[in-house]
Amino acid sequence: MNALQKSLKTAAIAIAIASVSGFAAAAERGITDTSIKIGNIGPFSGKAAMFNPLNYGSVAYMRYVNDMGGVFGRKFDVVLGDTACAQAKGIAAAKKMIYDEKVFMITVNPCSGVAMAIKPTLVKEGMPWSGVSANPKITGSVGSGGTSAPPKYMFHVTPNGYFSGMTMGKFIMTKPNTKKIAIVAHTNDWARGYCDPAIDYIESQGAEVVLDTAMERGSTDATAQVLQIKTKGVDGVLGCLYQPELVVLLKAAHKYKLNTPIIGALGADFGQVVQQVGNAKAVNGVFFQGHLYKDKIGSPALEWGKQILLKYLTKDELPKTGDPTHFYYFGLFNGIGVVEGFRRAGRDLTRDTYIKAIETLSDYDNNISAGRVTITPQQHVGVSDMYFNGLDKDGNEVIFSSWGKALH
Amino acid sequence: MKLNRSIFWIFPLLVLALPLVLNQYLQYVVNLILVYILVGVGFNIVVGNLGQLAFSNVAFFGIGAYASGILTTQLGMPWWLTVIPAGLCGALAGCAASIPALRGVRLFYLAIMTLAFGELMRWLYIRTPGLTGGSMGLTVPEPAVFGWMLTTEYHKFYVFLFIVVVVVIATSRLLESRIGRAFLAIKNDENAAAAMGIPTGQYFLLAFALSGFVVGIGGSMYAALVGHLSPEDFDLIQVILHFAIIMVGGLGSLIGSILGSILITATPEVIRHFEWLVGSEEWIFGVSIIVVILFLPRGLSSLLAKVNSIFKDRYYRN
Repeated sequence: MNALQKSLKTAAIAIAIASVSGFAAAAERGITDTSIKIGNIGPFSGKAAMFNPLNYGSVAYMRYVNDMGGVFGRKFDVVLGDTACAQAKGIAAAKKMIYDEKVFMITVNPCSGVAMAIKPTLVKEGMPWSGVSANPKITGSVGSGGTSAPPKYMFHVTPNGYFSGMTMGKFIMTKPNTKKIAIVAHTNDWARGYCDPAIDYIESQGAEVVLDTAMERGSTDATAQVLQIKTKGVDGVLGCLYQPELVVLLKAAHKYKLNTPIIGALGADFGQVVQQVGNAKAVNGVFFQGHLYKDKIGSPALEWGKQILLKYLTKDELPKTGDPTHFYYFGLFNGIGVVEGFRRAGRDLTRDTYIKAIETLSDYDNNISAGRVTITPQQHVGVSDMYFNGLDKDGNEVIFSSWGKALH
Repeated sequence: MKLNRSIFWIFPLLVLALPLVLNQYLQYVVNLILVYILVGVGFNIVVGNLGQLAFSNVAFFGIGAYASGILTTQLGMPWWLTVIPAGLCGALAGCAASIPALRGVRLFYLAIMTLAFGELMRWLYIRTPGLTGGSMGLTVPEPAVFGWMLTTEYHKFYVFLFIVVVVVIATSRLLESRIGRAFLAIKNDENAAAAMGIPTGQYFLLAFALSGFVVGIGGSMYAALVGHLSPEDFDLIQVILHFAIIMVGGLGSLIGSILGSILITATPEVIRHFEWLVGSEEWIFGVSIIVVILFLPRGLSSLLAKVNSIFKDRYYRN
């Protein structure tokens, strides 16, 4: 056999192997030798559109990874889908991703109702999902708000509502002599996803939830709620509310001199709430909110995130004014976890190898979140801890690890 | 061109073949259209045919959906057995919603009272978590018909299409009968209708109950289609959607309800195919409605009626 024949034989074997591996890759929907198709769904329209920075944060990280050469030579092809935070439309968005776009996985998906509605389809199709929606029933296993084993292909790399709510409860209970708590919450699954675990924790610590009152979305006045709280003489208030209603509650609390700390859930952006309340006295030392990140937004420790967001998002995708807000970083947080799964899965990517890879995340430092990420086959919620944002008496933002205990 | 009304049978026969050409996403959209056809048909009975400004439709829709959901989850009934009970629950709610109208409440007062009825029902879904799952919602099991699981959108389609065809034909027959003409007489002049011996109270009750029955069945189909019910599904946005369906399709027109459902349900999905339009749905939707109302004040059905009189609803004379 001469050199030419040897070369041809080698080439033929190489082509055969490449064909076989190419066929294997082609068999898995959403993957080619050069791309991974990702469905990024969220509320780009409707009354919950304020949450779409979560989607853009993930988009920015994937564009950044593409710019760095992708993962094993594959670049992310991100397809956006609007759920409008409504179930019927959310199902349409998810089905379009699965059956029309043929994506490899679906990600972000704020809005718990939508996530719950698409869950049966995702489970049936074996479609990986990494989302940020709060409802513990989505990915929760026993110990994270669920009642059984987590669904095989669905996970949170971020905390779910169960852990976020628990942390809210833990934070207020570190305030000395806390005995009585009031809850103000929306009447939806998102709010209950936060507040119910918080109530469970508070009651397990011997304190009492003396008031659990509703504040509907779109409310422009919280006088009734604040006056109710005043009559109960509480030591703290948990507000499982979206941003506009949280602002209304804080304003009313100041107006009626409530003088009680108010702890907000993750449905609002801390900086924007402070800005929209527009009164230092109404927020300084009063308003606290869960903080997912290892340091302040805008701090040197998170400067890399800001640079990615500013470089890889278009003008239309960034805030009209000011720097990227907390929700953009929340999206980054999700994007980093999703991409890490691809890095660990290696070149021979299938849905099963991807999920196995995600389940190897153990005490993973993603360089962004307060808590490290651990996902196991029994536990598909990556992070169970977070810090709290607050303002000192001079209006300086402080990150707290517990009541009165600043991180720095 | 002289056409026979039997050509209407062509449409359901034609759409029978849709699963052969549609993927599950597009099939889901078609199924959603079928749900909203019943919503539009039922809503039009009270607003378009009886001429009453009543917005209790979203309550009927939610009651039908939750009735099916509760009967399947709590009593373990197969979905197909819950469809008629869901309609009956809607009809009962219709009787309740007609009480203000029977007491002489009309126009904007009736509108606000019936809107409040919808919001009251939403409050009830939230406050009865043992039955409805409360704020966390109610997960409805996969629907089954005679033990046959409707696991794909294609399976659901054939069952939904059958229900829709039966209900639409039955409604059409009813509206073309003495009852439908009594509705129109009341719409045109309630006092004159009463003077002619039409028992207006009874017809008010009947129209609301009939509307509730049809929309309740739509709600039951919605529960089977979406699989997870949340009180937020039945809020004021849903009222706007239902109203848009009958306004765009044509008030008091059965064909209009069908056209309106197709247009209003399909438009967001058409927009979805253009990624650069993501987030523009609201203004496109708003502008489309304004354009239709401006240029076709009697809805899309009036356009079809101009093409051929066969598309004109027989009972609609003015």
